[in-house]
Amino acid sequence: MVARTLWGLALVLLGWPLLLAAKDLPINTRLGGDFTLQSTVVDKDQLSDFKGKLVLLNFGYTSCPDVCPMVLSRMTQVMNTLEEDSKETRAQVQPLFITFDPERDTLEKLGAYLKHFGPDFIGMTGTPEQIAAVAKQFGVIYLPQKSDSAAGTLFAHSDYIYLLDDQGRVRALFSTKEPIDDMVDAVESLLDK
Amino acid sequence: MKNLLAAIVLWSLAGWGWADTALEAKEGWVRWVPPVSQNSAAYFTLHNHGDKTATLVSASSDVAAAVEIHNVVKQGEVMSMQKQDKVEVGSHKSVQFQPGAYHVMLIGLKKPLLEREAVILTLHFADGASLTVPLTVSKDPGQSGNDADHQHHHHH
Repeated sequence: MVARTLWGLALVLLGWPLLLAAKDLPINTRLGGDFTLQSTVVDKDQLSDFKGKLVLLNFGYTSCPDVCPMVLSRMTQVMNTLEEDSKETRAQVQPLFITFDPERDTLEKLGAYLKHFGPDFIGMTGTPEQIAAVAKQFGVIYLPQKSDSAAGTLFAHSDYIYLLDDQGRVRALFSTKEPIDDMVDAVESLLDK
Repeated sequence: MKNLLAAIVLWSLAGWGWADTALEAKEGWVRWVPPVSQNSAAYFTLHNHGDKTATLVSASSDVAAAVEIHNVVKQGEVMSMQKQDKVEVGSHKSVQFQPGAYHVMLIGLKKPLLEREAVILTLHFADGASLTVPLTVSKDPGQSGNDADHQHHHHH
């Protein structure tokens, strides 16, 4: 019995990478859900407006000097790699950026900032309460820091890129260490179906 | 008097010699940011070839209203930015200023950065020495960490 359990465990452990290779990204049932915010693009202010497309989602703020532009440019690299395949492939993925600094990040500023990362990047903002609710849905942490920096308020924050499937379900979280290729592979695995 | 003068000359020569050869900054770049963004960051590798610990205490540049040294510290899942009063580089050691780690923050950019533009950053050390670091504005030269090896996606 014990041996059988161990054997089963070993199969599960060994099978895990095989499962990933077999392009079965698990559905994260703990995170996600629909939300409505203000958007830089008319009629695209709700997550469910992107149904049928995959979404690459990230949270940050435009005054962020280091981490956020790095993460956004990683999203750009993923999108550009998809475009190498075809424009249609790129069009099946929606890059989305939600600010947790609504005070400084107006829709106008978000739009002007994001267009430099790609023409298809959409930005969202809302009231502090709305943003807090969406952040909670995705397990995003952001804390304004007390600092004597001339940059004013800086945020301590998590920096995952979330990959959502065409139903808006969370399928993968990418840290800043994730190779671009692996992110592209994960996106393509959801497109192949 | 002559000896004193000679001593001063020798001392200052030695001083300059130390400043020129002991400290070196390589692979300097500034992250290009969209023109609406007021802030950016500068990255480089700081080498200390000298026999004494070098203590970086501040930095300056004409392109920004304020220049600060920061470090990004990962606490659990959260990246936290922390302003640094000093960064020590041990004898014959180097410290990497890179995305998600030590970086020099350029705050209040006086005008939008242009890609491939040259920017001059000056590093100031506790002993009074300074080091001029030439930087190139770039969207993402090395990207973060190890991605440089993975730039080309192989289709399968």
